[in-house]
Amino acid sequence: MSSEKLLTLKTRDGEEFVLEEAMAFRSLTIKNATSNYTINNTPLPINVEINTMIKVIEYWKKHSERGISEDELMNFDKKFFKLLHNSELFDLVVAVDYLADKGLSNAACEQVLDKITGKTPQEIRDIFNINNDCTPTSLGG
Amino acid sequence: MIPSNGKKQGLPSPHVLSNLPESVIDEILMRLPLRDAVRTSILSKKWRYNWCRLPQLKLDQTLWKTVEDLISPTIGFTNVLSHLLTLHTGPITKFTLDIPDLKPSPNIHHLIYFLSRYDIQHFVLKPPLGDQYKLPSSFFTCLQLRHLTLHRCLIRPPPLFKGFDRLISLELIEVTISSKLVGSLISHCPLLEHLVLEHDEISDHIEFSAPKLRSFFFTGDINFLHLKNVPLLSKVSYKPIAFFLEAECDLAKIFESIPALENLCWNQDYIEEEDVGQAEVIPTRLPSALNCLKRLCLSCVILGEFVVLSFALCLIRSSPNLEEIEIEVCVLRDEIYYEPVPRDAVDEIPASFSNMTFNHLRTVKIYNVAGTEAEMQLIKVLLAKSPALIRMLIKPRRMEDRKSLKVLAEITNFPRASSKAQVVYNVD
Repeated sequence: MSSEKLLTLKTRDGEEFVLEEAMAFRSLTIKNATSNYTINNTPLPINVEINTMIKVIEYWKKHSERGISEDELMNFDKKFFKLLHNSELFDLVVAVDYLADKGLSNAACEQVLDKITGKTPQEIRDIFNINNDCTPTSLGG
Repeated sequence: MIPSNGKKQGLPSPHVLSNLPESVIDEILMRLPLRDAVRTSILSKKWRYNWCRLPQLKLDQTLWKTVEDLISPTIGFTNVLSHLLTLHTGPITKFTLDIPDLKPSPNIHHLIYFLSRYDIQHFVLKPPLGDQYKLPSSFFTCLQLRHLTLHRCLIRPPPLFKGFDRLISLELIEVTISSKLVGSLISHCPLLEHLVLEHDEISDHIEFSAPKLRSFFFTGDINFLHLKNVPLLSKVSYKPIAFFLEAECDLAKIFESIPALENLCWNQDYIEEEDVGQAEVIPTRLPSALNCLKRLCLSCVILGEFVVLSFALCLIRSSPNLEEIEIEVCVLRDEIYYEPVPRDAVDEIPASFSNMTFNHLRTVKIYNVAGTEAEMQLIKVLLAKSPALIRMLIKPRRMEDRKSLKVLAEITNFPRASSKAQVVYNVD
């Protein structure tokens, strides 16, 4: 990128970091926020924690690389998601939903889908940490 | 981090996992087949109605894998339907109901009424096999429809109904509708781009105007079809069930109405050999050339029959700018009467192309070649007249090896206008 306009963001847990504007604009939420934003280098607050944001940026960086092949990206995605625990994956899904990045959102949701496809209801409850409060009669209705 | 046993992992997230935001749950549910999405209703009380927010629903026979499924309180048809009708919240933009094998035929009037109140935009209906399904009057109030596919429905709108004027895509397959109404319905869709009509039972003329139409797939009696205004129509697929030409201008009329034709598929599968009329009424070439035609695909053509051969050759001669030709030859059934190609007609083939060159023709594919005189003359002409040809694929019909070799030898000896032309003879 020739123009390296930079953006300062501040996470929910108070960490500040700097990102290339072009990359940050993968998030529609960030993009829309900056359109109302006057340039005075006040960090833009975002409702994501630093740990999750690090993951998001890792993903964005790889997918912004020039000359990278489809295969390399696929391999990266596989490894990237494999290393996430369920709770990290859910945090990522929630964060990306907030950030409004369609590409990453699709990829992350597909991962969740993979985790629950073919599982029994109890297995799904375990993955999502859902309390089974259904009584037999409520199931029948 | 506490070493995990695979179930509870890592530090508890600030969000309670079971409280994923609705938008996230929706994103996940949307990607599940409806069967699995509906079954999430048994996960917990909170999850009971999550699936009822889905704005796009596809109710088809994949919902039921076993007989038990059909009557299951969760995913049985009547239960799914009643849950939808009573518990759905939020918009419904797309709905598919594909249940041809469901017996006994359930009552779906309530469903249609329900959808009509939701400004549905995309609707596919394939009702249970049997009597045609008569669409209720509520259906005709779905004026936000952009995509509509109907199979086996009886369409009789109320008298004041004008049309679905937002339609971009319309598919009517084996429906019962008056020809006049079809024409009027289509003509009232100024935005229509894609049209499919599969209509064995047309008994009367269908006439319509569709200024934005780009693709049109038609199965039925071509003689009853009249396209009045289709300036942008470029992709056409015809599968006529009858093709009887009485006068020389009949063929011209079919193509005159489609000035922008670029891609034509013509499938003769449904035509009985004796229903095609006389070869004399087929002109050598059409009065106006099909200058836009880039791709010509002829399926199930009996090149051994004089009328059909004349037709195929007429189309090819009329299309100087062709880039791709694909022909699937069909075998003649010996018992049926046919008018074979006269000797002198075959001999005239090369001369009939004498002042033509196919400067843009790059690909030719011919399937089921038997090595008949007519086929060989056509192949010879195409090789000789196509300076830009890159690939000719010939797939011979099953025949004795020796004969097949002779055909191959003959073809490879034909002079080629293009030094780059590669002839591929695909036996497997």
